[in-house]
Amino acid sequence: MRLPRRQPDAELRPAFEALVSKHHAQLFRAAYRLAGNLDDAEDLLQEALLEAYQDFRRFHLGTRFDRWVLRIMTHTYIDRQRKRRVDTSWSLDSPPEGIDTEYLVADGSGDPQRLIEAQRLEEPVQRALDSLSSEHRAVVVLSDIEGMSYEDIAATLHIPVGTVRSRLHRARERMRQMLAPLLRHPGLRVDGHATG
Amino acid sequence: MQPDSDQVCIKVRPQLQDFLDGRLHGGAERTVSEHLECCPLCHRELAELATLVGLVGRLRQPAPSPDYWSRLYSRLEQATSTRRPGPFTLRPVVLLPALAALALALLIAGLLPHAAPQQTAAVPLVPLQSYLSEHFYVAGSQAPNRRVFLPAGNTPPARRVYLGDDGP
Repeated sequence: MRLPRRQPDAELRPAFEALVSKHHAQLFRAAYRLAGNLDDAEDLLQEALLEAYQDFRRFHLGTRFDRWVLRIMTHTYIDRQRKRRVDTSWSLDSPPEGIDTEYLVADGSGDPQRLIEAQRLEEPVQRALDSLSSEHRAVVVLSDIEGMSYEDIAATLHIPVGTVRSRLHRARERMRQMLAPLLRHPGLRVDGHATG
Repeated sequence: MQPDSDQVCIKVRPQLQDFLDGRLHGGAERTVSEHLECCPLCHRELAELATLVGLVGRLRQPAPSPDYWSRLYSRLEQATSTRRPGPFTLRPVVLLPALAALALALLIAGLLPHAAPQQTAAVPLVPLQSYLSEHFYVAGSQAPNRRVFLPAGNTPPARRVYLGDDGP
């Protein structure tokens, strides 16, 4: 069902705010992982939500609001990065910089949960994420943070499923190389997958 | 590790992601699974990949500034109020012709200042000849067909005007 196009925006605002309120944590998480810092994440999400609000009459009731906003947000993010020209261009030919993992030695607890929850793990993973180009980062965020399928990502980014697969493969491979010392740490165990 | 393991590794490694994401089925899935049981290198790569995906997926939930959502909702309200037409607001497609019609009506009614007839004091009609003789003097009277009227009164003639044979 499509909302009537001529319905005044003022009447749509309560419904829009209710949907934002329902999904605000997820939307901000995605914005933060895309932008890489708090200020840019707040700007990105605000821009995406204002755009979504102005286009809200086109939203199909009964479909997923969070996916709809995520689509707007990822396009906004990629457009922004292209305009800023701050993307980190990389290829498999240029090996990524490694990440210093001395911090792991300092934690002798060996408790995986504590390791995961330790904030010091946050920084290298986010840094590896930041090293990706905007297109590759968007795919990782949508797949590994938002849990979207290849097909949903393809629909969201308007790219073929094969492109989703290849981008995800290249992005994960680069992050794996960057985080190799961390991923091979004997005490690290995540979601039942052990290393070493 | 089996003798042909290297060859199998070359085929299997590109499929590890699909295997991890559950996108391999049937024979392809079985081939990768069997290889992983006997190849520690591929097994380690898969484990690292799985750990990476787990780490990314379990990044902590960030929180925006405390007043972020209230500011955002205020922006939405502003966006609404700036775009919502008021009770007397006309769309441009209606407003512009309306303004043009109003200007035309004012013009016709003589209400516009630049178009209104000047309210001047009544000037008595006088014969042209008497008006000229009152405000101008005549030079070259010997050539009446070529007479030139020079201003008189407050605008004294700066020099005499000679016309034709009237010159010195």
